[in-house]
Amino acid sequence: MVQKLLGISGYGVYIPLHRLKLKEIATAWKENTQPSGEKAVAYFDENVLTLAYNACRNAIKHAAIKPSNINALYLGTVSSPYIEASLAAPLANALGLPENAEARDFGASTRAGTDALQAGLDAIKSERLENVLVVGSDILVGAPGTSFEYTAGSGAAACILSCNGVIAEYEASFFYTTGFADKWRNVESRYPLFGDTGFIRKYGYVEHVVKAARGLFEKLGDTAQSFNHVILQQQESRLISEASKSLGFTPEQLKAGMTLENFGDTGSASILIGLSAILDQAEPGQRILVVSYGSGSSAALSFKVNKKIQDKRKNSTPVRSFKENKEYIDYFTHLRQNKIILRTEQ
Amino acid sequence: MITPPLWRDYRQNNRMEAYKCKNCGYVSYPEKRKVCPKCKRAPSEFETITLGPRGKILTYTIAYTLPAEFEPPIPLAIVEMDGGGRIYAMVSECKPDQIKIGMEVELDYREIFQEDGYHVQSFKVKPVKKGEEPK
Repeated sequence: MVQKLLGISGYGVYIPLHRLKLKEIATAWKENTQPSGEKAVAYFDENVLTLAYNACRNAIKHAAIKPSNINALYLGTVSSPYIEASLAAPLANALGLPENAEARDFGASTRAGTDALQAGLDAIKSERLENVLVVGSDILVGAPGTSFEYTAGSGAAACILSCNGVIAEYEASFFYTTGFADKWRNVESRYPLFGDTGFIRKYGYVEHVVKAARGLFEKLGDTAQSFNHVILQQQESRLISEASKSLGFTPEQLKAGMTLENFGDTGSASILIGLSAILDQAEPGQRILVVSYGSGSSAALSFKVNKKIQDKRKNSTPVRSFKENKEYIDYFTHLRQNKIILRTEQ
Repeated sequence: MITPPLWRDYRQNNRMEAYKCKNCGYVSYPEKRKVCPKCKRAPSEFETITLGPRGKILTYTIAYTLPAEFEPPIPLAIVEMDGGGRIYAMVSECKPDQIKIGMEVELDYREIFQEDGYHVQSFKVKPVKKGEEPK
């Protein structure tokens, strides 16, 4: 029996136009440090669903697939405006997916993007579905004056999973789960809360990412050097460098997938955005490792780039174009646009 | 109650479905008609098409006074879509001094308003950047 190639057959990204320089936040709060970098922030008329829509349209164009041939839409987000109400179902409808399409919402942790990705791969592998559209989308907002305010970013990325026209073949995955509590957001709160900083740095992100990646190395007989490109959950630069140092990755391996300094922490979308940035420049035969993290669990997945990637490049909207196409706004405009402060009605 | 109009018009609001007269080519949006207002054929046959994704601004106005959740000033335009059909839409990511008659714009899925905490999305238009390919 010939084994079918399963993997990503197209991808697309969407990042809001507006950027906020991190030093604007530091100046507003009279901090002594002047941090470099910037983050993407949503416009007043953008929400998680509209970002996801645009990323999906770019992915559909890149994969050159008709929406009527897509069997399912899996959406991952931690910033849905609703506790109850699906985003995946109205999104599937707006994109023109058939009425017998399956719509699923993934959430509750920033792993939601890779949770959706893994569910899509499994559904195709089991021959239940043929083509699955996976999207991660988040508009993260940090409480004013907190350290999370410096990283909380916005963005979305989508990919089409299929056995046809595969540009990056799925190899294997490995999970590491403990249920470690480091970040949570209550139903009534707009902003997340964090556990003790030093403690969660050591036992949260770093430990989970390292153990999930090492588990995958063991499963596949690989080492850190087996991978050409690596993307770790884009949560905080210090955590990324600690985890990559511990695993033995070089800055060169991490370079293509790093988006933290441009778009900020894009939550459930961050792995898919980084993966798209890597696929923008990856060569056939190269191997990619992605490791997500959220709420005491990590998922490590590996992909191998297929030669079809070169034929499809003409249809892609590269992540680079979103890094270049931007407009800066000031801190107060950001607070107003994202409804962090509201005008008092007279 | 927001549910009935959202359900009734979701094809027009979320997919930009319009109706083209098979006799004369007139594009009706958002109404699904029985009689063509241009060739007057009654009943006329209409085929379903998707508007856009691009068009040109026919005329516009600038809204300065809007409810608190908007970011005025916001241009509002009548757009002649490529392939036929005219729409009335808000122009996003466009400052009032940027907008011009004849300017090329493209459809963009955006949040339009909220009612009872429910977010309603539909299409606005935004200026086309030079060298950008249609979605």
